Amino acid sequence: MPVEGRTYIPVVDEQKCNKCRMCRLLCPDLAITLNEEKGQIQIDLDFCKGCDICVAFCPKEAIKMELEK
Amino acid sequence: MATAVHGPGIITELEPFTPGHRACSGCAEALAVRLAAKAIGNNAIIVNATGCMEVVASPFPYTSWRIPWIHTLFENAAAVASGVEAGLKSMEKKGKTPERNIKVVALAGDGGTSDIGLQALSGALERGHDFVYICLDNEAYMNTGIQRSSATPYGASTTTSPAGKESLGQITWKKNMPAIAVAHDIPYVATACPSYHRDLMKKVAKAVATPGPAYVHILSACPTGWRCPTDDAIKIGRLAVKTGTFPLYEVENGQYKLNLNLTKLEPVGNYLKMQGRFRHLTEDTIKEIQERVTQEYNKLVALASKSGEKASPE
Repeated sequence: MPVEGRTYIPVVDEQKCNKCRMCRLLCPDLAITLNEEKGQIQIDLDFCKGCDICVAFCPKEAIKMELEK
Repeated sequence: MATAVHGPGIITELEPFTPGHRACSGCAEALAVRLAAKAIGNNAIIVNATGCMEVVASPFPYTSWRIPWIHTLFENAAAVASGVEAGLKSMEKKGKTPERNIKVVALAGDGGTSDIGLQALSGALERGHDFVYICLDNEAYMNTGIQRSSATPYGASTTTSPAGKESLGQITWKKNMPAIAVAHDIPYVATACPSYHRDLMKKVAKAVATPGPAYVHILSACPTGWRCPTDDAIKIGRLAVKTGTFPLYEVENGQYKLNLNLTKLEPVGNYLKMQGRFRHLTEDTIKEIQERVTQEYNKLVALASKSGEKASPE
């Protein structure tokens, strides 16, 4: 079930992401974790409020906001 | 897992303030509390006055805090914190509890600090209790619906100082809380902003390690009340610092030190134009604000150069 008030969700481009975890540090809701087994950044959509801060601060521009279906 | 390489530096993975809280989307204050909690660590008691952070982090029966946490009224965060600190000290002295060096941290918003809680804060600072007071300044009573406080800047439109044909918005200047704290001659006073996250964590850690009272003033953008897009919350914080509206400095035993060496301040207009609450301002008013900001910043530079401390390059 989507979080109330959210329209867009962040999607990580695995090709561009260098796993620096700047997004995790600056996420007010701590919705971003690094899955060490897969070596991928994962976004916990139970907690994400779609605020865009991770997009604004990704040094590699690897996160994009997409309309949540 | 105590530490791990995290972000651009080595920052602890410890999270005493957990996700799932009900802050608005893009809340920089939630980020500020999270970063501050990381710096405070697990061995602490949090005393939280009424305000946004109390409301969003503890809707009954849930809580976002993994460490002991007390809710107090608006006016007595500092008084309760000093009571907790004195009680702990007394119990340790009598041997009723082992000495664990527990830190006491009071958290309050700008209303709970500069309006309602000022008397209790002044008393606690004067008595010299060993605690840290963190003021989370979002420049109005955001929790109850954007009413003005004495920390609201000049010209800002809020629901109780609305801008209109005959009104400019807020007609008084922002109260200088760090200067009031410095006037109590306490060992450590600092200003911080979550946009400069490492600086913020360093200052909170330093405040916690300081024996005696310490005061940290954190400016945090509020997209709801400042009428700005959610992704601008961090950007606006950076601009507040770079325009000199909210300079980052620390005062150790009366010695001022500016943390960012800004050779040239950005025009205040850049900061004001990003926010809807300043949308109605005319060029003349912006000029007036610019003059005041430059004047205040120069005062600070003079104090810092008198103290002989050199700012580190940006």
